[in-house]
Amino acid sequence: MNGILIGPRDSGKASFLGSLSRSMVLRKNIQEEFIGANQAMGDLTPVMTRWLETGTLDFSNHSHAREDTVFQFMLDTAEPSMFEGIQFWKEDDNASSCLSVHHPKDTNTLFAESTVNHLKKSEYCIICDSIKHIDQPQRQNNHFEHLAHLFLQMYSLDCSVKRVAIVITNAQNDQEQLPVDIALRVIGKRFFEVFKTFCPVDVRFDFFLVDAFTVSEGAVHPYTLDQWQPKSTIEPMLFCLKGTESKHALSLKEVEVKCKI
Amino acid sequence: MSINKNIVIIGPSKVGKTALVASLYHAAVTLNQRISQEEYTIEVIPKNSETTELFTQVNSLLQTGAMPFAGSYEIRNYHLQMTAPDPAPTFFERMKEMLGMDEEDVCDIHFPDAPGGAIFHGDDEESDEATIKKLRSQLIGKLSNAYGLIICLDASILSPNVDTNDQRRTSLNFAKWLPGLLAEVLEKQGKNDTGRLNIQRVCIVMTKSDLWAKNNGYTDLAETTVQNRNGYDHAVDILGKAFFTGLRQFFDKDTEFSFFMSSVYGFYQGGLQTNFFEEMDEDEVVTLDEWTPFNVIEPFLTAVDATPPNTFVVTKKKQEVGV
Repeated sequence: MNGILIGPRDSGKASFLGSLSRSMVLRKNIQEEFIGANQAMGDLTPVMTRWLETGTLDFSNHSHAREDTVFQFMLDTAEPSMFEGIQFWKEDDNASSCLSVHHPKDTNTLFAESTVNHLKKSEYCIICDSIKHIDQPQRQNNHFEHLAHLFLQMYSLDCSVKRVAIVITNAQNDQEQLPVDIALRVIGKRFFEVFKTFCPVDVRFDFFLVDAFTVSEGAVHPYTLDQWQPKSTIEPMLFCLKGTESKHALSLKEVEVKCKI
Repeated sequence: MSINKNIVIIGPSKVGKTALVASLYHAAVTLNQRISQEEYTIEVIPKNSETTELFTQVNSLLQTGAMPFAGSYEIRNYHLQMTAPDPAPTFFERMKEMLGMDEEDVCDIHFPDAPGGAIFHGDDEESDEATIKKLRSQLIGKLSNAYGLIICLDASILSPNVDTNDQRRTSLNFAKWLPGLLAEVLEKQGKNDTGRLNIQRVCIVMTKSDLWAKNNGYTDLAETTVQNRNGYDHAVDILGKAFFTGLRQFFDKDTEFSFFMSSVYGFYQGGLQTNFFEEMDEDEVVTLDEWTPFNVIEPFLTAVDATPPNTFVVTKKKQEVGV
């Protein structure tokens, strides 16, 4: 299953991806596994581990710092049913890839052809930004314009995206507002227009407040791996790849109501 | 035991990987003495000059009291042949043996011994970036068609003399580099039925367990203490449960994880082999009979499905690791 993860450079995309394996383990379900399956995915681990050790986060040596990068992984949620087990002709659909795309420097820059081609075969879209950028109208406008340009570059209204996750990173504390309300204050409300234009009416939306950097109380550097407890980062992936919705998931119609200006 | 099973041995620098491999020949001899069953005889035969040289070099331990290996800076490809009977033959195997149809229980083992820095960057000051990249790439190739994986770590890091933060850094060093390496192996090996690594047996070998016993005050009863020490608990105490819950995900559900406390110096009369802990006098020599490596060949046999009887090992299925 292919998907696309899009957001500004400082939106926390890499640390979000780098915390997925650990976040999955914390669900403590033996049948659930998240496994990095390419070098790009593997190269995130040393950076996150160095952060555990020293508190310094530096992705500058990762290929993602220079270009949009395909991250490959496998996500297993349960043993296949007996029926699925005998479908020997069916390809293993647990293997997934996610292209992580940075917003270009300005909104007039075209997205790479490879990025557009990846979007054409994507079944999910994750929009990512940090809660640090809440209530910034210019940034909200950038989200809309970049998304609109990317989808317009497909030259088609026939989009295969079925699930859209809005992921707000660095959301360390429990928030008083609902995830959807916070997400709209970060991403803005106009993003919805893109999906209304390009996606089928049954597209599902879900909203997540996550934090890749949560550690157990009282921990000091160097943190141990056991002390690292990223908050909810795997949940957007479970929604996008397996359809496991949170209680905040909405339909296109419901998001439209929320986004009415 | 079927033929041609590849094993890859990895671990940080100075953990004792080369010493472990070098002691295999003598370890086979002592294992045969311990088991002393006619129907169970292990033979280890070096099949290339690098392996022969290694097996010869290790004997200087008996004269100097120190392992003659300063550290590896390149991949050495060792090739040896192990002959070992299946410790638990099936009914059909027994029948085939009775009818003289049994294949010879010979296993060709090829394995690279790479510098720790090839995987665990930053702990090998002699290696430059280009060398590391080349070694790492070679190792990934070897891992992509390996049957057994031996991961070495230093048991003696658990010691009252070692700073807790240093212990944490040791653990983080494994967490930092191993998952990334295995992700690349998954990419390199291509698809299989399980979607996981082809590796079927993982042996976690905690070297220098005699030093662990010494540093923790178990000098006189070192051998019994190490034998009774649960290898899995020791590994979890060093690396933490989270490391193993992350690691196990790369492997198929039928993969077995075996945990060994190990010592190439071994023990002497139940205590430490003290001659190897301090510089020996020039006229002093330890005889071969006084050198009994502990759990050195056993991980290699386990990695090819031929664990000898009465081995001190804790074996767990994938679901039981890190729980």
